[in-house]
Amino acid sequence: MRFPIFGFSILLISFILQTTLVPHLKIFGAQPDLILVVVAAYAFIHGSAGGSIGGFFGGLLQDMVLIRNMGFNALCKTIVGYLAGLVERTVFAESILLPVVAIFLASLLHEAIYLSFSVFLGEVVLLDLSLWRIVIPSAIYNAILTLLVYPLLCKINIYEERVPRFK
Amino acid sequence: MYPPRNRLNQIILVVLILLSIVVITLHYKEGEEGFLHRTQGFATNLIFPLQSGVSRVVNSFRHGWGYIFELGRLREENQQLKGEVAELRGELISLREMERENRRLRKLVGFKEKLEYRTIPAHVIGKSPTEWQATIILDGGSADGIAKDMPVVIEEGLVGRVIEVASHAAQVQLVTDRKSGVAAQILRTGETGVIEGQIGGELGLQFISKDSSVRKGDIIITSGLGGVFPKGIPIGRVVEVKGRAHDLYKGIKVKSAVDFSKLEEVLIITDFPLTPPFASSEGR
Repeated sequence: MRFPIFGFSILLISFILQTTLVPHLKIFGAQPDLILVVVAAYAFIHGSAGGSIGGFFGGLLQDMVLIRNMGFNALCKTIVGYLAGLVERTVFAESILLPVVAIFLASLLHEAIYLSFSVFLGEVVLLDLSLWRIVIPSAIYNAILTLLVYPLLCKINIYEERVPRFK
Repeated sequence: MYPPRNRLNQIILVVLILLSIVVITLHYKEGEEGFLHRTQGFATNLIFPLQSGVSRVVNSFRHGWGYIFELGRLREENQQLKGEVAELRGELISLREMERENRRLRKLVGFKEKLEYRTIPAHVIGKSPTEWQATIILDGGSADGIAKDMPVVIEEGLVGRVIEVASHAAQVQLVTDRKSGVAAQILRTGETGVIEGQIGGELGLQFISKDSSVRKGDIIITSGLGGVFPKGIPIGRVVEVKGRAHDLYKGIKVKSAVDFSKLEEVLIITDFPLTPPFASSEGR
């Protein structure tokens, strides 16, 4: 079984970078979600099963160091990973721009699910402030990060001959 | 071929969603000593060495990259000294970093001596992986004498309070976290309210009467009324005051005295006595 070692190593590296390096890369207060980008990109390459499993464990890792709402990130990323996997790699073989747009949308979906569950559990959420301060800036940042992460994951997967090469 | 695969994917999705909901429910319902809370402590201990190592590399790089560019230009002008410059570059980065750390630590020690409470210094080795929660991870834990609810400060002002403790690491809820509440006082007028974290890392001062004379520039300190934080620790300055005729309270924005994006070392106050039941009004 190659998947667990490969997938979990990538998730663990992403998680460590997310808690150490990424907070220093804030632009106008926005912070990317490297784990989400990795999960979505992984799902594009490996499909829904890999996406949802990666999303669950990636989110759970994130939840391990959060002080409340443990399981929220696991839930959001499981769903986003599954949906990202539905479009899979065939759509993205020709251009890097498509995964960039797809991860922008995946980020919006992720935050929408997160906010919905927060409200469901009785948290007060200022929607306009959340939208302009966190949701949209992070989605843009995640989309930009895709330019680095997606080709990197594809290159790693070329060894496994699972992904068509970029032109 | 496809339908069975899709069916399997759907089963995996449903199982994982159910598992997530179980985790959410258990974590919500169980106490501080519950299985999932203890697992979080265990996981923090497990990843602590990795975080600590990467954090050191990241910090060195962050401080040194400006010097690298500067020396890179010199290298172009002086090719024959390339080797020497590279060697000096490493030493320079290291010395500047040491000098910077030395200055920071001296400042911290000076502040530590000024404080009337006993404190423990700790390095920041990690930050919250999501913007919805404002937390930091420290390289000190219960083995170093750190316990839950201890206040965390630096010379500039209040940082937050310890919220989770593992044996060699601790998690701190920053005052900017939107579930954080700190009993506060306007230094000039003496009025008391509650400082709450807001989305985007700002602070809001709540429960100040609309008749208050609070104004831009007023200094906000901890009032000590909540029982978690000692009185008199600077929190920040008022940057905006709003008040509408029908509001009971003024809408006050406060800018923290602490630059949370640059936190590297902090002090944990270890001997401030918590005074329940008031303690529950501060924090999350």
